[in-house]
Amino acid sequence: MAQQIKSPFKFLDAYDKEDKDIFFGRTQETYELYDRIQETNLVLLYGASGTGKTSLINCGLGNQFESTDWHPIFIRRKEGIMDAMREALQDHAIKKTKPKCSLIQQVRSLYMDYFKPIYLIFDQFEEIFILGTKQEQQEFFEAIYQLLESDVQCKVLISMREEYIAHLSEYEDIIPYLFDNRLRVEKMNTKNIKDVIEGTAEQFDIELKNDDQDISDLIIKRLRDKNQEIDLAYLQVYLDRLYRMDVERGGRPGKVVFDRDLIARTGDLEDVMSEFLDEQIALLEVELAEHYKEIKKGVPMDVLFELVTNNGTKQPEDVAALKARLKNTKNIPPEAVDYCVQRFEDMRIIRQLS
Amino acid sequence: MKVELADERIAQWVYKNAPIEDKAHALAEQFVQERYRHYCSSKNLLLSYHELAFIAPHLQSLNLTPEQAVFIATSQKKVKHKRRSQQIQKMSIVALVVGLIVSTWGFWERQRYTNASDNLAQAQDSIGKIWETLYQERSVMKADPPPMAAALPAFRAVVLQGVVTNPQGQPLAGATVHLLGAQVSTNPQGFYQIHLVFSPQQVEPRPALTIYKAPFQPLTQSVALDQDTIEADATLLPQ
Repeated sequence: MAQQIKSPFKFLDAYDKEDKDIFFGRTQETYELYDRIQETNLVLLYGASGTGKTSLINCGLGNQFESTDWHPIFIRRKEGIMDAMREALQDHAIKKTKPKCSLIQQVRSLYMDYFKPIYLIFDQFEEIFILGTKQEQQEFFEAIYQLLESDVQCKVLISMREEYIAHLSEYEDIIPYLFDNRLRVEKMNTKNIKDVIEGTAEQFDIELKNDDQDISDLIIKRLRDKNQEIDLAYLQVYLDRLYRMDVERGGRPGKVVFDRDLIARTGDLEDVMSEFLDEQIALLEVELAEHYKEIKKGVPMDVLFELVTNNGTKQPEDVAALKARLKNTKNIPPEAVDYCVQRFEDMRIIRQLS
Repeated sequence: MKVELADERIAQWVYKNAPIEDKAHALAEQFVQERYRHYCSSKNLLLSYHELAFIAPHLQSLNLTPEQAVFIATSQKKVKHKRRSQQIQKMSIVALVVGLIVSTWGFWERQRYTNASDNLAQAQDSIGKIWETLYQERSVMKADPPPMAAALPAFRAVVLQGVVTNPQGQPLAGATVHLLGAQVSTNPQGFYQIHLVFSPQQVEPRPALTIYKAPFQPLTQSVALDQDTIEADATLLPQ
């Protein structure tokens, strides 16, 4: 396996509560979200993909609360939202409830366990519209309405991509105040992005060698898209790339430096993510060819394709099921799939779902 | 252990760069799953012929549960059965149309036969009545009734025939020969023949025979019907 240089950047991972020292540029939104959730029982957080909604909740909001003020339960849909919700509540419960217990009873029991308001946080909620059925959606909103209307100390935060927000309007009949408290996460402005670059560089002891031009300005200039916007994920990928390039060139031992020369060497970046993925997949193809003599080309792409829906969105998949499918459909040895999954995790292209 | 892509943009990139066959395969698989879900909820929505054709190229490699495989097999069976029924239906329609045509023709022919039979019966009645009248008349004159054959000569069959030529003596084909409402045309040799049955009361002694053919002058001449076979040749003059 090739030695992978791992940068300290979050790359494509969301910021956690522990990352508060490197979480920059979202102070205003954090306060606003905190205020909203204090004022009401149901908040809708939405924004374009990659605007950092998950980080805003995990790190921004998470650090606003004292641990005695809230008991957050993060819920992802997995196979079905209702099952996922029950499973998450059961995982958190000290006193386990009976399987036939209603949702309200489960949350009430959980409140009695901790004596803290329960915060149900539904992240990547768009999955219910991409992968779920109408019946599942209906059941969910009805359950949430009953929960919110009950006397249980519980708040609900729904976080989703803005492309799917129109789907919610169908359920306004069930929860009339669904849109009353909503907060849109905008893409970061230049000043905030500059804060991110300079703040993280300072935290990771990376020197930004500003000679005649500001390095952070150069990075921003390079990452602007045709709409003059910068994608935070691309910024992370690009900073990671600069970091690895500097380590590879072996400039100053023990010290990473971002300078004009390094930025110039990144070349013209049409699409940071695309170039990164091309590079990583080419690398993995070589590794696979070395490890498995009979393996055909394209296996890394086959593995990644299994994790994508027909709408071009991501979908979680069980590794055992993934191996079985690829063995069945493409005759790819399960060991090769395991290898790819492992390497993609190292590359931070895929991650385990907690 | 479940895994997922780290970011939506990776998902977009993968989908964009994936081979088109893989996308088609994934679509077919999703299609089967969705349709199976519908089937489970309604119990009667099987796959149609065109839907089966859509998934057919991927059928061998689709990841199906045993229930989904049964769902597809049931759909295939039903489509096969339906297509056979449709073929039978089409053949039945064709047979029905043919039957309808044949029976209409048969009915028409039967009508014709019935009409002809009625006419014959009427003719026989008429002959019978005439014969009865004649018999009664003769009975008055003679003590013994005449035999039927003796009464019948009152009806006379006459054959009128001849050749129509031009002034040069060449036969004229297609000339129309008309006598007492009967009409025939001459054959390529200019020959014509008219068969007539006369009641003695009805016969004019010398009816007019008319022959015409463009561009000749029509010819009208009286014919004496005093023999059983009458020869009446004619020469048409140019106009």
